[in-house]
Amino acid sequence: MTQAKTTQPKMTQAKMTRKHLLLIDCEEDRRYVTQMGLELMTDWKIWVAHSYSEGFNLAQNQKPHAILVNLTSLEANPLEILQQLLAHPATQHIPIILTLDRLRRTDQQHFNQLGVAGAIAQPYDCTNLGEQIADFLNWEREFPSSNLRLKRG
Amino acid sequence: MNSNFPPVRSNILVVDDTPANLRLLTELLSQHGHDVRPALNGTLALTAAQMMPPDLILLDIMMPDLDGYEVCEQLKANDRTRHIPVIFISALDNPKDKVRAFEVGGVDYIPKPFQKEEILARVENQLRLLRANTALQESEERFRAVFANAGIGICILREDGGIVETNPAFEKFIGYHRQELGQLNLLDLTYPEDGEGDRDRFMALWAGEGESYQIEKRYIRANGEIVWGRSTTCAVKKGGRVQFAFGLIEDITERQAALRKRKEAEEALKASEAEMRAIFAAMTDAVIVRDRQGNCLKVAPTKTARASERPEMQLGKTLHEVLPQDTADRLHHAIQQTLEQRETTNIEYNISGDRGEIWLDGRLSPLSEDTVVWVARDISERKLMEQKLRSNEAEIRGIFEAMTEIVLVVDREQENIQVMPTSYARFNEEGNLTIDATLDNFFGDKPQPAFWLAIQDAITQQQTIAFEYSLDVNEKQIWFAASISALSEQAAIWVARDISDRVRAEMKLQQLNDELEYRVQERTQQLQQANTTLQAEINDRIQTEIELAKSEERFRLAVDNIPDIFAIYDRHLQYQFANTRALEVWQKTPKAMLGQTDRELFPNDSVQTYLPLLENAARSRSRQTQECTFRIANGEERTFIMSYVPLLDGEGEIYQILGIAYDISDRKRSERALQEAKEQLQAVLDAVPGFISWIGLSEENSLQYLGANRQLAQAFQMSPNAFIHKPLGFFQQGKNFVEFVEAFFHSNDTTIAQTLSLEWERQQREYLIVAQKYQQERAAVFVGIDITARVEAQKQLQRAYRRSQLLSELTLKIRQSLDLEEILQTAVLEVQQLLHADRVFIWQWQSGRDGIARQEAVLPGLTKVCGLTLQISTPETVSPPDFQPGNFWTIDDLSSSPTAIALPSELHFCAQLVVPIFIQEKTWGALIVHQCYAPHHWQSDEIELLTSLADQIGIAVSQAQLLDRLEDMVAERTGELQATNEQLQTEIIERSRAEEALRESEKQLRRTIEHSAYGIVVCDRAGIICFFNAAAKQIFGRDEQQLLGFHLGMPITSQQKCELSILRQDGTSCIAEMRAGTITWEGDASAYLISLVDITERKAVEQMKDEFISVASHELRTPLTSIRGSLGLLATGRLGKFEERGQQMLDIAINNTDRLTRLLNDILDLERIESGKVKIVKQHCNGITLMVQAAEAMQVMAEQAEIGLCLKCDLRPFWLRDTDLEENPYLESPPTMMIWADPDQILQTLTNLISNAIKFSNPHSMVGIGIIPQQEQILFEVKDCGRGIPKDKLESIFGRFQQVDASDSREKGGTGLGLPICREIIQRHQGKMWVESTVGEGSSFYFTLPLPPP
Repeated sequence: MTQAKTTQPKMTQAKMTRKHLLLIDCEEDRRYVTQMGLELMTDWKIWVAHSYSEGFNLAQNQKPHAILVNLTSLEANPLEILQQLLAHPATQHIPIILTLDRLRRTDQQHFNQLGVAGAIAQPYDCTNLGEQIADFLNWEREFPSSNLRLKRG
Repeated sequence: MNSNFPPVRSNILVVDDTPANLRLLTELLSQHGHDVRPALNGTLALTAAQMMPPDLILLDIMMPDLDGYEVCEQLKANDRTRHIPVIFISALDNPKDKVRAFEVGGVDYIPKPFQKEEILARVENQLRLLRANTALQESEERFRAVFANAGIGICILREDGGIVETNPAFEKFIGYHRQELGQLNLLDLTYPEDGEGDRDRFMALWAGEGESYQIEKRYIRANGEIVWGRSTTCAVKKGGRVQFAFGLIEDITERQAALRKRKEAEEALKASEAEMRAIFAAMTDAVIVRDRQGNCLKVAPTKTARASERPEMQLGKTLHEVLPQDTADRLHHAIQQTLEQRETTNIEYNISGDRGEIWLDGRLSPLSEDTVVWVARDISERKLMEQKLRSNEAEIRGIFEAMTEIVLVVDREQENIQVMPTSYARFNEEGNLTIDATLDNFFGDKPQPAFWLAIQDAITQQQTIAFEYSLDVNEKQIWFAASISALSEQAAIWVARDISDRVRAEMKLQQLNDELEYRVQERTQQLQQANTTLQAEINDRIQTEIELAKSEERFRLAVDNIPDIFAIYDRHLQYQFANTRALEVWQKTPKAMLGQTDRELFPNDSVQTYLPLLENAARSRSRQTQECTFRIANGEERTFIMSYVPLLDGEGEIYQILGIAYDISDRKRSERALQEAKEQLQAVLDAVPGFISWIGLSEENSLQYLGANRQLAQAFQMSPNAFIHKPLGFFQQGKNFVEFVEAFFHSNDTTIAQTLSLEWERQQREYLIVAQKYQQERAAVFVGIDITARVEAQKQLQRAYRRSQLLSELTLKIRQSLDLEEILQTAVLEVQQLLHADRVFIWQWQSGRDGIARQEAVLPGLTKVCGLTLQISTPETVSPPDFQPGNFWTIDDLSSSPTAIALPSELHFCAQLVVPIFIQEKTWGALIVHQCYAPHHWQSDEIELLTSLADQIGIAVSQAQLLDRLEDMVAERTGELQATNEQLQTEIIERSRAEEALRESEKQLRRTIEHSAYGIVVCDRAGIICFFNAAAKQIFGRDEQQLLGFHLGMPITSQQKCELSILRQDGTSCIAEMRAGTITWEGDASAYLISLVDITERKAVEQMKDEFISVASHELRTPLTSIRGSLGLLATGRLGKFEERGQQMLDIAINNTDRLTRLLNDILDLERIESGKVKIVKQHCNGITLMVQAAEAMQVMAEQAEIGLCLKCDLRPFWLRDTDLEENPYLESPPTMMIWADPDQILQTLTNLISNAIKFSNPHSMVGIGIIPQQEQILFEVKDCGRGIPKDKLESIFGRFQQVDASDSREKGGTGLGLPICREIIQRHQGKMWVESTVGEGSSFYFTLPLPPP
């Protein structure tokens, strides 16, 4: 669910691992912009998948810390990739964050029940996308460029 | 074969590389009963031997690979096979080879070619050797086992005593190991003190002296401990020479310990002996040990021994030497007996000592074969006592002997009877027989219980019992008087004295007595005879007495039979006599009563009533009488007249008191009953509502009252008693009555009934008097009943009858005429006559209270009113138009009348009656009757008559009036009818024209409908189609025959627009929009008009639009995300800095992208909500929670705009948690206000409204969000203090893209779709949304939501 990872002490966490995030998006421009936004605003390593199948393979092989999937593709069945990721032993423990066309509260509940860590409606703001993701995953967030601190709770 | 050994099957391994040889050897040996295992080469042989070692191996030497020598060497090198004898068989017959064969361990060597016999002999020889060896080995093993396991220590010794071998028992005994012992000499292990003897004897043994010796000595163990051992050393000789010696050492440490213990026991014995000595010292008995001959061997040092020098205690002396011959003999005999029987013997003996004779009790016990222990105790004192006792017994015996009675001692258990030695028998020849007979009674064939009983009694009571009995001895009867006394608890003494003499004397006396009796009888007879004559003489006398008695009897009878109670008391007031009645009353027997006083006999409450009287009589000595009531025996209460008559003797003293009680209870009761009856009667009479009096002739023949009832008495304010004996007419009841009474008494009638008119309180009243004579017509009772009312009623009835008669006559007269004046004239005249009225007139109302007197009948001399205008004199509250049928007004006496009645002053009268006259329920006038000379009470029949008359007059007047007006009316009516007729004509023409127009219109309408693009269908309430147009036909795809009269087949909802899909007959389908409304169709008011529009195409377009919007929205969203993302990243400045204008452009681009996003979202939302793609999932949710959530979501935006959010629940405000207020009136748990809605959508609506409110509010103002519960819904309110909305825009703002100000969309960032979405959502919740606003002051958006279903 949303609290897939427990927060480690700040210092050790920062030094020990650099977060790896897999971005799966079938639309090229959006994917590029999103990737750039994440790379600019975070220190995470961003893996990029151009299709759902590629994303599924990458997720199995690279074992990223989290996966960001855009579910708005009209060509493939977006829910299929989600089910695959949630079902496969190699990927089912990786927290998943979705990007969707329009997000309603009922949708959010639905995804939470499925085991998705979070959902973000598009168009999203690439400048604070990383922060939103970190928020969902309870990752330590220290983004010097961003002075916008979301209140949560 | 050697027969020494039983044919044992041996296991032989034969090894030969030549198969022929192998087979030969195998067969040979097998035939001789051996198990043979063949092996073809050395390796196999080794393996076989290893597997199961054979008893013998026959081994060929010459073998390839591994020759016989090598095989043998390998066999010998192995522990398992080493012992197996090997016989070599070889063709090599070289001595060298043979030597080699023996060197490597072979036992025999058989050269080839071999003889069978040789082979067998050699094999058998080897096997025998092998078996002997085995037997030897076994034997040795056995011995060794014995040696090893023997419980006794064994060691084998050399000549010098060195230890060669030891067994474990020895090792264990001595505590050294075997190895250590090998270095040691047995003598070294011996305790030094014991060593010498042993060494000598050991040397001697080696020297050849003897076979063995035994010695007990101490050894020193390895640990230094000293142990006792019994050593048996044996020499083993061979050929006369000692080969070796072995020692058997037995551990006797324990035995030594036992010995030590024995010693200790001996010591203890010694100590015990000392103790014994001490005990002896304390003993008073003489303890002597004597031998068989009576020699005194030892004297124990007892007290006696020390204290006295008794002859028998002299040591070494025999009994005979110290004691007299006979004593000594006895004692000697006792010693002999003791020794022979080996038992303790008792003997008492006496010896003469210094202090005289001493009695001793000797107790002899055998001590040994020839000695006895003699314990002598001094029993002189006891002996003395015994002697004394014995003399006592002699005394008793003497007593018994002196007695002549039979004395028996009988024990309780009836077992034993001791006959005491009295001299009874001596004095009686048959004494013994008598005693036997006595005992017979105790124990004979028929034991006498009486005997035993007497003894039992004597013993149990411990008393002397006297008992007499007789015995028949020798046909003689002997009498005994026994005196039985208890002797102890168990026995009684029976002393029987022979009393036969006494008894005999008594019997003689009896005989004499009998004789005397007989003589007396004789004498008596003589006397009786004399008596008889005497009797006759006194018979007369007796006769007189009987007479006397009879008289008394009569008296008694008389007294008994009187119904009164009669009793005679003596002077102590005790009953002497009571008659039957008295006994009856008291239910006592004479016995019980006589001699008793009343107080003793009867209950106190009864006695108290009459006893004082009795006592009074006794005291005063005079007769006392009084009535007394008390309860008698049967519980009844009775009343008596009690009389007590004291009878005095000559000296004036009382000797008897007669008591007579006359029972008057019944009389009393009847008196009471009479009284009650009288009272009852009186009550009845009093209750009669009439006057009752009793009048009778007095002695002077004048009439006087005997009584009167309460009614009568009260009427004259007198008591009923006051009438008694008063002369007739003593009060003013009228002459009539007196005369009536006198006449009645003079007449011969016994009864009479007559009506009398009497004056009563100055009023004449009618009475019905009924009288009845009694007491021989000397008295009579008169009952007077007031019948005035009845008489009066009869009179009135007569009057009423007369009046109704008159009325009908009058009515007839009035009806006979049609002339009004005549009618009125008749009426007034008749009324005047009928009522004897002074003035009667008819008044016709004109206006107000005024009217004119139309006709009158008046007595001459009185004022005439006819033709005058007069005011009606009715109460002021009632004016003529208000008169109602049945009304009337009366004045009985004007002088005492209320002034409220308006009066015409010019008219004088005393009494007046006014009755209104109506024509068709309208006041016409009134009939007025006056009495002018005296007041008059208007009777109801008068009023009734007049009312009826007034009605008749009314009818007559109206008839007369009708007659007058008829013709006028006919003419008028005709005119009216003509006018109406003309009007109707005109109307008909107009109607025809209108109808024409209508028809035309309908035709047009029908045409319009027929050709309308809308499908029009009319059907009745049941859904049956009555009408349809062409368009409808097309929509349904059916023709007339398939529609008209058919059922529409779909639900009709009035006033509601709905869509339905229709399947045509040809298979195509269409979607139609249907509207329905009720119309009146050909008289049916509940028919439906249904209009249908084919919207199939529209629907298709709509769907296309929806899909387009959906896809477009998505398709737009994707590039928009990229654009927004790129712009956002540019704005961070990380991709290069812009100059100020560039940055401005970027901001514009970002703002517009955001707006575009919102627009897209709203369009999509609206589309989805409208198309129903967003399902509304209604559930129970708390409106307050939603409100708070919405406000919290908008809090940031509100803070940025510097606007406060104020929440109100049912008009009470509360604040959000985050609001920084010191006093936080936030309701800790806001009340729940449940609604039935989709919480998501309501939240969206609320946030949208709040967002709008914030946008349109000025900074530092408040936005209020409220929730108000209402009857059947919940009302939400979002209120701002913004600029407000103009009236003409209040509705249009809910349209799409309809903003108040076109610039708003840009400035406020709105999409123009927020409110349409909100309204759509609320409408889908069956709620309503509206806005109220005042320009310049602010707006309030409201929406309602339903309550949850119950």
